[in-house]
Amino acid sequence: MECREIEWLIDAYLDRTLSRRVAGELVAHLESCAACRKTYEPMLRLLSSPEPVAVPVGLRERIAAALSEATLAPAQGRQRPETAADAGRRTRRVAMPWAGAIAASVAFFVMGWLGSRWWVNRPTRLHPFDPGREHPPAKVVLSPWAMSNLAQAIASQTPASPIALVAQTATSEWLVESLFRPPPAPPARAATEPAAPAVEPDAEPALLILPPVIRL
Amino acid sequence: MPKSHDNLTDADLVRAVGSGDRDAYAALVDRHLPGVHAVAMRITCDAAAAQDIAQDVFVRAYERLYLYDGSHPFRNWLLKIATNLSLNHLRSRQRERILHLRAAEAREDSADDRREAPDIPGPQEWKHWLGQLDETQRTVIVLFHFHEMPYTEIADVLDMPLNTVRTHLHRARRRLRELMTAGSMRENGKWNVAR
Repeated sequence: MECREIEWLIDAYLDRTLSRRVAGELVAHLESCAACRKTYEPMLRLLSSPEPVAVPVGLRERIAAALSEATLAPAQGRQRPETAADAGRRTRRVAMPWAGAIAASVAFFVMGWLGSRWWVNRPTRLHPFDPGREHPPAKVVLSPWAMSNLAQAIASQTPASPIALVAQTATSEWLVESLFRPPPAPPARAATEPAAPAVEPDAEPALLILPPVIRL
Repeated sequence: MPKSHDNLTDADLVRAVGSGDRDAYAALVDRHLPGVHAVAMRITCDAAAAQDIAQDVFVRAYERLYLYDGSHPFRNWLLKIATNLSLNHLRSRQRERILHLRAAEAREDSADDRREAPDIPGPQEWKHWLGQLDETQRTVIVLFHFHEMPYTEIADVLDMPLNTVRTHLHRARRRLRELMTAGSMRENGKWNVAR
């Protein structure tokens, strides 16, 4: 062990985090090297063997006398009464994280829904304002599901992975589409008419779901 | 200390105090007075102030025992109160400024005055050496080395991050080493601080 290593090891030695082997080498070096011993031994002696501080005579009696005059009520089994502020703090501590996440999620969902409806029904040059006009299915600007998931990611205060966010949104939309979309009505056609194509040309394309590939 | 309290743990004694047993608190005082007084003495370096602080610690702890939640050892809770009161005492007396002035005067002293310093200071000069550290460095040295308080507890007592405690302790040791080495090494009429 060299002298320049001692300064780096002395803190760990005093913290008792050095291994037994390295601590032994350090002590052996301090015993053999006069310069290092002169540098470090006074501090080591001071820190490792502090002089005990004696309790002055009469201090115990003085404390006992002071305690006899102290207010004993809080220490005699009575807890501090809970105030309204304490109850409020306790309630907020438990309820606030969920309440904030739910409120933000609902708010973002409503904003996304209203925004998408407005975008579909907005007056354009080709289609000026007409309350009775029927519109094609919504081309969603930003899906309410996407905004809801985004709100949850923000409210949970954790770094949101874009891949996870997109996957979660796609899954939500696929579930809603498959659960709540009404089945297409069978086309009414004449008996001589050739069979209709399996997919209507103007139908909205379904979300492509790739089945998992299992490689054996 | 009554015999019946000898084998009880601090937690048992605290519960007994909560149920009205005043002798239990006397047992706690007997058990922890040396440590509390030593912390106050080593941080303030003032015997009279240490006695006042020790008395204040036990009275305050008794009056506010409901604040002790049992998550830390009772001894550390008392040492935390003692440390805070000692630091408050130092700040109120502007002890730090006085100590800095003393250190500056000591640096300006002649070599003859320095020759009065012990060649290899022993543990009995702790007040001399610790008195030259600033209050935070002195406190971490006292709590860690003299009262074996872990880093986490010191961080809790001083209300500072764990790594800040490590930094203060490292600087305090380096400062002590420099002071003590400078006080013990004088060769050929000039001072050599070994690195």
